[in-house]
Amino acid sequence: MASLTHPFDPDTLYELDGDGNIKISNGSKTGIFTRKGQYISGDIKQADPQLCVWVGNNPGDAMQQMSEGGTSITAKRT
Amino acid sequence: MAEAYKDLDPATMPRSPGLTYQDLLDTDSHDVPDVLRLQSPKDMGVREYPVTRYTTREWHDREVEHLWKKVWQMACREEEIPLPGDHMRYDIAGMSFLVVRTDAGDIKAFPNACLHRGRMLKEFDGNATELRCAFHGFAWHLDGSFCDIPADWDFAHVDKSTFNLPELPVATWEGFVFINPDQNCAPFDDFIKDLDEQFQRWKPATLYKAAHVAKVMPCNWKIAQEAFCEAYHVNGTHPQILRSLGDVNSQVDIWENCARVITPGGTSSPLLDYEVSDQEALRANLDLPHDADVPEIPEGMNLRQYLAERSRENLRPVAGTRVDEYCDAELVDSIDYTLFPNFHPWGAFNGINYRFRPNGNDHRSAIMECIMLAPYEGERPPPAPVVWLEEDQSWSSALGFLGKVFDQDAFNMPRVQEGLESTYQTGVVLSGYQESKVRWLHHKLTEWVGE
Ligand code: FES
Ligand SMILES: [Fe+2]
Repeated sequence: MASLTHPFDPDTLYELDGDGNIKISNGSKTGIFTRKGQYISGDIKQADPQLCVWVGNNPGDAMQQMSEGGTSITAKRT
Repeated sequence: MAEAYKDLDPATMPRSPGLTYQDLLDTDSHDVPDVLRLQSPKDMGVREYPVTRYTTREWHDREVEHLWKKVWQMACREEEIPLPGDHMRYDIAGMSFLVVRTDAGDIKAFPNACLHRGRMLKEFDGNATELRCAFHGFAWHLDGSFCDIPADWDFAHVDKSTFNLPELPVATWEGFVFINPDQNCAPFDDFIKDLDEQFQRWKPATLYKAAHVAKVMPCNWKIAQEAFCEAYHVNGTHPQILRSLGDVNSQVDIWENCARVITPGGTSSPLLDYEVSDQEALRANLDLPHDADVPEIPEGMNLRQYLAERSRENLRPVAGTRVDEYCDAELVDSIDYTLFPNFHPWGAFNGINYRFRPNGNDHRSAIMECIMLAPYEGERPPPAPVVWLEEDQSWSSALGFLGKVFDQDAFNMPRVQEGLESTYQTGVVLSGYQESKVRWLHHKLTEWVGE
């Protein structure tokens, strides 16, 4: 399962949790984020979205939902 | 005419602290080819380029008229149309062209349109003995010369001796087929000269098309393309690789019609304020979990040499003893060339090629393609067909590790489009050196399209 510490913050670990979300931990603090870096719960409130994208991107993993509508742009305003 | 750019002196120009790319080449375990020793940094000025280049239909329409209808562009690989009658459709900005292998074995290109009432001649790639229209049956030989009109007594007014498909300029380079929609265009040799000189050693013609993946990206084609034209974005977009990538010590070289960014692998980013051990750099390079065992680097080898050796042994079964001539840099670094306006062959041996273009006439979506070339032993394997990813399919599902990296770039693209449509800025701010390839692209666009 993918996991790594943030190169700019080596005490902070990013890993995939059992629910398909990203768990971030630093000492006794944790936070749970979506695979796009949106906050879900916990006392760590901010994440690097690109590391969430990276750790959550596991080709072949049935839980993977890269799209979630987020790769599209909104309809063009006139 | 856009203002000319000036030479910079590599010894005195502003650049990142830490090792230069040329310093790293000095540690190579093999002879370094001259092409990697070239340096061509340019002072491209500090101007901003208009946001409207990405956001307006008006700019897109001018691009179509002054760029896409005029410029040489990569249409396909020669190996995709090996036999007489093989044909491929190449579409750009609402126009469709047909690239055909003739009976004589040469390659011709025509507008993909019947000379009767204009129906597209071939909707799908394939093989045909003649180019016959599906509407009323008008037909042309594979070389574009007139062949047949059913009930031709009713077309006595058409001069059959000149009723041929209009021919477009075609050229080949290293196994790639280029066409130009402009019948009076400048010679291909002038267009390709700079790039051709750089690729003498690498010869992509000797490789075969091992994979081809395409996807419609929700952004202007230049937003997609420019995401691959600098390594400055690595700190924000690909932080996971900073322990093993010299992002801001990339070397950027600009020539007249091509440019390159070389980003060294197996060395850590100067942006990290701590010493990275070779083991931790290797962990990042191999994308191993934080608590997994990392292979030992043999005594007497540095990380770049070790990574190069691994790559040599991976390639050896298909590339043979050629691998022993490849220097470490050729096996470890990202040597990303761009041929104006939209073709990106990587140098050396990893075989990556990108192409970016507008998605039809939509200035807010683009077609991004990755074509992987690979060495082979014996008979040339058949070229891989293009795989089109759906909107909800990730690049990683088709390209594995490389695709994971693209997915991070793709994560930005629609957000850049939306940001540029929301910004109060009139221009895009670019760095002086690291983003000078993006400056070069816009400088060329100014020449072709105008302000
Ligand atoms: S930091 Fe480059 S677009 Fe925001
Ligand atoms: Fe990138």
